[in-house]
Amino acid sequence: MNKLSFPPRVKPSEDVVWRNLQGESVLLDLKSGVYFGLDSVGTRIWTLLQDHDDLQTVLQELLAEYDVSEETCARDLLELVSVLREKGLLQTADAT
Amino acid sequence: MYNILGYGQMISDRVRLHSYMEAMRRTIKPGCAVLDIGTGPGIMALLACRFGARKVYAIEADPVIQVAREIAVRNGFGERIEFIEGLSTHIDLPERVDVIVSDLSGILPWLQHHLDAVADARRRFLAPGGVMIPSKHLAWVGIVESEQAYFDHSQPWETGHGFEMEPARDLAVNSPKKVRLQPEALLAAAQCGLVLDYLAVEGPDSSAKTTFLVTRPGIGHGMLVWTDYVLTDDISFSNAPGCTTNIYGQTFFPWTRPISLEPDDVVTISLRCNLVADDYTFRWSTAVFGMGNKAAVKYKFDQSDFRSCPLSPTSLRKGAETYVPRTNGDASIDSFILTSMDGTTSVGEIAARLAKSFPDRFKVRSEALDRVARVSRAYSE
Repeated sequence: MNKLSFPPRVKPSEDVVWRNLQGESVLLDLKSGVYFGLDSVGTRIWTLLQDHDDLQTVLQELLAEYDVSEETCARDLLELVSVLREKGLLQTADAT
Repeated sequence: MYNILGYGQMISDRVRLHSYMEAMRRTIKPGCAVLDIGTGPGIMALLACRFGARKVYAIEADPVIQVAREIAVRNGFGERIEFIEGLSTHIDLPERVDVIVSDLSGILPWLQHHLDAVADARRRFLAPGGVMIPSKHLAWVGIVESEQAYFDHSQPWETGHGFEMEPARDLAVNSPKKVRLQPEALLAAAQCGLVLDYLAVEGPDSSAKTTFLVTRPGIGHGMLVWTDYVLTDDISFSNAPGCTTNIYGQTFFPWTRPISLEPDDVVTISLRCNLVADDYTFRWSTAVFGMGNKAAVKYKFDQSDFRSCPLSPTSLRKGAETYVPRTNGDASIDSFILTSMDGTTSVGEIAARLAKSFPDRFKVRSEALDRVARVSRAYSE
């Protein structure tokens, strides 16, 4: 996996509140009032993004926790990050 | 919305009512037109007449407007006050007014559609040079030590009779509540977090960032927010700790857990207030830096009342953007009723047909009548 293919550092948008519901999570975009659901793996990624804005670090954490190839894990991580950014739930870490 | 006892409490609040009365007395000139948004039983509209208003438009969505009408007639103001049932944002007036008076906020300015309603009224109804009462709300923020205020959020779930009750505590510590604390509770000088100027406010959402320098050692239990109600430049009242008690009180936003604070610790709080659907969601993020050292984070909490109530995952899933809904049996019933509301059929006739078409759901006619009446109230002209 080429590390350069990762997008800039990202962090949860300040307009998002979230809560864990039995291992899954619900995100609420305060600006739009729209809810988003994440499954258990998505919730783990979202939780890691609370503490790490570097996707390489998130990837390494996931590889340590899940029995998955680096290529698959990176692809799934990027896919989720892409969706979350598109929805405005993630923003670049240096943006205010 | 209040019941009649609640309206009575509002009228009996001397601090509030006397402040409004004085502000109106100084502002309303003989012959001017006044708009009273959320008139309730009509007290502000009556006062406006007493102070010389030529015309008062009194808007109220609650059925209490019928009481207001009767009171106006009894006091000889039935002609001068035009009562309009509904929401101000859905109503047009025949003229612009010189004064707009309202009291749509609660303990905090962020209550339901208050800010939208006031901004809309100013844009559409206020004459050039007109006056808004209140003119401003100032939201103040403090950090407080109050074991008593924190008690409800924590204690019941920490002594769970030998059971692990943490999931309930997680909800409770994200639940703001009304309190009345005294100045001794403050651990640092309070900060004015936000000024809402009603001659300028536009959108419903607000955010404030405040920084506190802790001035005395203590246990921090949370954030306190209160409001200064600035009615005119020289008339205001406040819910600040130590002020004369009024009906509103203050709002306590608990922290995830009590924290030990020392003098010169720096506490930063970000408060966001967002209107979601019909009411506000609050988010308060707190960081404590030991002795002001930005590198020494002692505590960090990110909280929201979004986490304060039990939620059904099933219900939430049904509201998700990606959910593909399919109607259930209740939809068929309401659809039947709506289709039957053709402008010629009475509620009773629709109920009779409904009971016949859905015999398993409506065993007696009154059940069908209740259901049709509910839909009729919501959707008929």
